[in-house]
Amino acid sequence: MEFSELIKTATVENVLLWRPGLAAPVRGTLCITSHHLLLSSCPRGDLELWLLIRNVDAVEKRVSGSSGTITLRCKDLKVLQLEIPGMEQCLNIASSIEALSSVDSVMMMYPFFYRPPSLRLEQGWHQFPLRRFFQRLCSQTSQWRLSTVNRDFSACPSYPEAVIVPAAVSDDTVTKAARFRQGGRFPVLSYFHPRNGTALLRSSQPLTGHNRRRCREDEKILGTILDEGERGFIIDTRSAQAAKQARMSGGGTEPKSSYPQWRRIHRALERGRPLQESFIRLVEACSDPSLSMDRWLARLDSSRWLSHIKAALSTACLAAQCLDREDSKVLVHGAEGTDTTLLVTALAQLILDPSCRSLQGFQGLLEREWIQAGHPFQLRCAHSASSHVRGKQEAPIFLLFLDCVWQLSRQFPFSLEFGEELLLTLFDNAYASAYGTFLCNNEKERWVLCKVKESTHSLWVWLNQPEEKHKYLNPLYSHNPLVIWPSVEPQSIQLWQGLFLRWIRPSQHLDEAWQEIQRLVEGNNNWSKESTGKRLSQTLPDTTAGTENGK
Amino acid sequence: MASSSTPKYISNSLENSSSKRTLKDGTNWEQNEEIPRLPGETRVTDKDVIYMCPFNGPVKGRVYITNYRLYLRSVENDPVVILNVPLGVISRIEKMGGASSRGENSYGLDITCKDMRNLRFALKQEGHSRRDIFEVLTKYAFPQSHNMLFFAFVNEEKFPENGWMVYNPMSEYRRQGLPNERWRVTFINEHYGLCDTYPSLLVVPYNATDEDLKKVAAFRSRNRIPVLSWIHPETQAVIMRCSQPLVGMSGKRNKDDERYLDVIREANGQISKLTIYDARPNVNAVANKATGGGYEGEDAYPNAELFFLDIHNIHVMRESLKKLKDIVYPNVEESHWLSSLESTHWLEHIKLVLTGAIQVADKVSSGRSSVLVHCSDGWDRTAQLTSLAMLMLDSYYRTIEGFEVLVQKEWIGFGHKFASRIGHGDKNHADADRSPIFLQFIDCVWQMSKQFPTAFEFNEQFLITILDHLYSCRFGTFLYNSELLREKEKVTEKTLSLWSLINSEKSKYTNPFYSKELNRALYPVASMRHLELWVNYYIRWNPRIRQQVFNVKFVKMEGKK
Repeated sequence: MEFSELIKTATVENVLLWRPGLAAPVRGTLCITSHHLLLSSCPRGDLELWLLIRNVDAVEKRVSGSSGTITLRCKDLKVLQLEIPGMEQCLNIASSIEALSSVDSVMMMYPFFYRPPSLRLEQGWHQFPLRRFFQRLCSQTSQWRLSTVNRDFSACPSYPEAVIVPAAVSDDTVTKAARFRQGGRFPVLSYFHPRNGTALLRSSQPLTGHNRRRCREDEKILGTILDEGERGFIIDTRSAQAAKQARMSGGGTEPKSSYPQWRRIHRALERGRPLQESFIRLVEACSDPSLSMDRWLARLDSSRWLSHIKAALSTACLAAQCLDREDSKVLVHGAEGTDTTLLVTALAQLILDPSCRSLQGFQGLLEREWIQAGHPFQLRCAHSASSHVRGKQEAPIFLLFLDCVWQLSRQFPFSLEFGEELLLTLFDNAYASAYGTFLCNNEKERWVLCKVKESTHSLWVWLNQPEEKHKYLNPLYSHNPLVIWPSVEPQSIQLWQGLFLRWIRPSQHLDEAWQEIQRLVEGNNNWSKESTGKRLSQTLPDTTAGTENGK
Repeated sequence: MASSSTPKYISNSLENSSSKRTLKDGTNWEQNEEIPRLPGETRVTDKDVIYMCPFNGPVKGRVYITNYRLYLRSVENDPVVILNVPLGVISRIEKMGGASSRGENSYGLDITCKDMRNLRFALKQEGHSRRDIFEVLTKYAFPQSHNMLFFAFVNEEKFPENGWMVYNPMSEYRRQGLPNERWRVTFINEHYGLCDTYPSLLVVPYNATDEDLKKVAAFRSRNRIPVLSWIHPETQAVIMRCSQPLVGMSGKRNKDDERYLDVIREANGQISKLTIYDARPNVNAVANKATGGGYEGEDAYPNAELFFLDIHNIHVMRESLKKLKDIVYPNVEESHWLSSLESTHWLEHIKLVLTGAIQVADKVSSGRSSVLVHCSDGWDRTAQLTSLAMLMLDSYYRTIEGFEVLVQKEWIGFGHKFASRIGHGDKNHADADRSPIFLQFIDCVWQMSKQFPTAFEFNEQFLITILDHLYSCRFGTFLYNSELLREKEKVTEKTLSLWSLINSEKSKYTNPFYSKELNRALYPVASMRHLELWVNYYIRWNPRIRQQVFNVKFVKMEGKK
């Protein structure tokens, strides 16, 4: 396939563009390339639009008389309008955008063509191998080992090549246990809690089925990690009812009789279609200009998005609670083990482990718990909230995770090294990106099928360049070695305005404020004796404050 | 609980429990004393009670009552539970249960507070234990109803700063560049002869004589004539405030009032019409004609355009806050929280007040037109609108001292009836005059500070402290309804100003991110989507909005199985 076949009209003059943040529409020349939509203003020649076509979620066209209007609803929730002279031109442009935005071959996507001069290919793809995580683990315990049982992705196609399993369990056992778990996702270590040596594991559901199949090897994996008399918790992210029903289609749960030391707790988390619909309803409510404002809260409520956040955070707290307070090992799974499971394990780590809260650590967490752990980004993020395609696989699980992280950052404004800007960038890139990081559904596809790591650039390398990195840092960050227990009361959960109202609210003042804060904090570090410094040290955690008072 | 990871910043600036705060305030608290006491504060009585804590269940303790506060310390709990309530916040004291009541803890006192909480104490049924404490509490909580002095009059605290010096009307008008060739200062109200709810010093158009003012007064409700609140340094457009015209059913007209409004318009050299903002909903303004009031009709005022701002009256606001309290205290409505919040309409009212103020500010600044703001009497909604518009337009009012001046000028000076709206020391809890108008104003200020985090010199604690002392009666600042009455009671001589407390410890109330900038107009976004409930104020008594509570819930869940 050639891109040129999809582009019916490449340039149109005299196009009127409305985009958020623009006081008045701009007129200019519209240009379609294989991956971008460009508009340069006339007569000034400023580039007013540089849109990755992959970012387009829905194209709506309206023709009246001799001209037409195209509304582009983007995956990052931005809405653009183009007024195009000439009916045919308009229809051509619309269908070109539609065709280009729905190209589904991964290797035709922009990351395979994007070659920024400042970056080298293959840089950064090994920045967060599980090995480094394992090295840290080794210094703390010898109960776990790095297994390469999955090196050819045969035991589990959605796991990475290396996984961490109990030291006492052989690869043979693991291979057999894999057959007893949906998609081969046998229990692996997700996080080791150094304070008390407990561990967080994740897997998919066991394939017990209606005839209550058992698997000695699977029982052995879960059995060996508990000492005699020790109790572990299995957090099932489905309701007890749903878990029971899963037996009919071959899935199920760990029965007490075969796993006597494990206790099951059910916490129903929304996933799949209902979650996608919640997202759609929320975005509709946010972008409805006619919405009579006195119904806003009721609509926000009925989208249920905030209750999904509450549920996700509560379940993550429960897992963290079991690990930190009950000194128990925890296994988390739902059905496939690639969605709500990862949501819970990743959040629990952020709550418990201060090293995940640094910019580097957070990237490592995303790499381990989302990308390498096989969250099917390509399927889940194929469409965002405005698409007219009602797919079966789309679900904003990752967005829900980012929103939960944002809630944590709001409740603990000093404990995360990164700020809202990073979360927004991650959201944008998960749905449409110039980088290969979020392409494909798992490591196997990335390595074997698509050569993502050889032919695309890593988002992390881009972000970590000193001049970029600066944007993502939280100026107020100060290392907090403690567990951060969030409040999950309904009034503590807020709408993430920075994301959902990003293109609607005037953010100029908040951006300025953010810069001001950055400037103040930097000033504070440089000249702590000056007056701003004094003001800051009164409210910011400052170890020197004590000695000053002592004088 | 020790692993609370709440950073220092939060625990300092968002003090959740009043107990801590008041402990720090108490300048005279010696370690060996049982309770904190302010200079001038005396112990009246104490008693063993059970505090029925809505969050943690019954707490055995001893309650101490002074002429200023109710103080409870638990005897068995670890950590010690402390309750420290200025008697001024009490709005109602009821006896619960009778001598024959059965059931545990069913006999005692129910106390309703003005600051979004209720307290319940269970007592022993023997003797006259309840009658005594009830009488003492009633007497000291409602001194006005018992011919007693407010605590502010016996308070002997000393502060390095004198808050009464903060506001001097003359210097505030001078700061605005007044008087000038178009506006003059008049002493016509020096002895409150023209209007008993206005301050003594007024700024009026240069071309209006005192005789004119007297004639205008006859046509304005309670003689509250249009006077200047603020002048734009560049456009010279002004914000005027007044009460409604006495149009009545017959549609009366008054030549002097009509001419006076024209003089105001001309003072700005303005050719376009004078803009009048009537804060009320249209229907209410019409209905007011029945009681002799009304609004400026088109025929009588051809050079003015009138807009209604749809802000409801004090009764609607009171009911709205009552509903809000119902859903946040003691327990937060968990399911459908947002829908229940919506049904209180509290945020909607906030939105309307802010939207109105934005219109006023924008007209003066971008529209370069003078505006006249009024409601019915011009001391509730009018004060909200003028003071918020001034806060948007003039960066001086966004400093700590400037905000004090603003409150002192637009609220206290121009006769917002604090005594009636709050019911200081008055036992009549159902008084229809009570209404949270000032609280609503402070909430609007908080909403603005959320949207412009670096524009205000003060922090959230400053606003909460103002609200706490709006009720406490420890300072004279908010006592009485008008300047006339305050002068009569010699408030500035006999009491302390709240600003003395605040200005003596300014750093505590300073926003570390404040960046001073001059004369930038701030227009907040007043859409519902951008307004938030002020959780740190309205739900501050609920320990669950703090971290760590998850534990308790988890343990409970485990225990059930």
